[in-house]
Amino acid sequence: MWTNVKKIPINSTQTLAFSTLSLALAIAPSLPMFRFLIASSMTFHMLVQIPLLVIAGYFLSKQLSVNIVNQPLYFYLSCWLWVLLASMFWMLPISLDKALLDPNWDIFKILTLLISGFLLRSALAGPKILSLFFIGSTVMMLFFIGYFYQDSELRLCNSYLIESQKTAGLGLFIMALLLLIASILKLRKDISNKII
Amino acid sequence: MLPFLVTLFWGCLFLTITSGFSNLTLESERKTDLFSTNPELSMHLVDDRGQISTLAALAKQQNKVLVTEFIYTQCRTLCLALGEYFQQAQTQISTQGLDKKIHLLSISFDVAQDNPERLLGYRKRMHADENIWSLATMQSSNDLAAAKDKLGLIVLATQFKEFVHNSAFLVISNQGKLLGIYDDEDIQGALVMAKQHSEKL
Repeated sequence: MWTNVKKIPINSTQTLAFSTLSLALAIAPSLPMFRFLIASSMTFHMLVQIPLLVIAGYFLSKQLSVNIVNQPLYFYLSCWLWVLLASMFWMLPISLDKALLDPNWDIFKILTLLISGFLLRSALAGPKILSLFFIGSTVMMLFFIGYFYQDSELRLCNSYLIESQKTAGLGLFIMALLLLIASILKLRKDISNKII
Repeated sequence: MLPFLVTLFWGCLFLTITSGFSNLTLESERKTDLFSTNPELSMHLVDDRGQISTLAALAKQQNKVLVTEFIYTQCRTLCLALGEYFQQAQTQISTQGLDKKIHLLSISFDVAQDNPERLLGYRKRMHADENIWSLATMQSSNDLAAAKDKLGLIVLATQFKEFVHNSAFLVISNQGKLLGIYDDEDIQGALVMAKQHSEKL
């Protein structure tokens, strides 16, 4: 059934529009004018701004049409390592607090996560077995941290209320579930197409 | 080489932000920092008789080791627990005859609302013994800003004039210097430290 789905072609103008829009939306919450969005809600910070930055980076890579195929294995491995370690880093309570309190850390957050999205596109073009391993690790990490944030009776971020922390935990849990379902569907499609 | 460099880069960042994997939260970093710097505490306080002095001056005048907490008098959640811990500490201090050596101090951060009358009301509700347990409020919002900046106190205003705040017990020497800071569950740790230090008096 998956082979029947027609791919909608996206032209370069649309890619440009996508990348500019996602970049603007992702950076806006760090500007003083919209800062209240990430300052008041941990969910917005973790589940809206951070993913948006990764998405913006992804479209940026598409926009610049970087050569991502036929690279050596160590290249794909490095891309995946960056993506995994960066997402792990920006889920630590202390990193979220520091990004909120110190503009330098916030700029660093924007840069590293944009790079993450940028490299994610390359990483996904690499060997499937690498994708399987790293997406698997990310899903497990999201489940674990989501559970931890929901379950903890301690306020882990000084800048957020405990209710906000619990909602963010639930959000991470749902995100892990969605990612898991999406990767299983993709895996099924690839197997039936004999890509794997 | 490249995968190794990426791992090294992030490894260094993890080490930096968590100070060698010891502080995963900002709260624990704040406590570690305070333990190592021993700053003198010069914030201005107004006590329940309306007298103004600095925290350091208060410690010197009492010539006792202070155990301090931050509260606001209208609090119905966290501060009640903090108050109970202080009541237990008060009983302990008086039964062990430490009242000449250790003193308790609750400091209100609700600069706009709390005044000497409200502190008196709080004293009555808590059955705080004047010889063991003092109450004070910060004099101005500058003092609150200093406490936030220097002591890592965090106070977030919510609706209905209530606050969400972090909590800890601060142990302060008779010279007004910060000796240590303990979790809100560890009043015993704070008392042990105060006792050890008071033996040198």
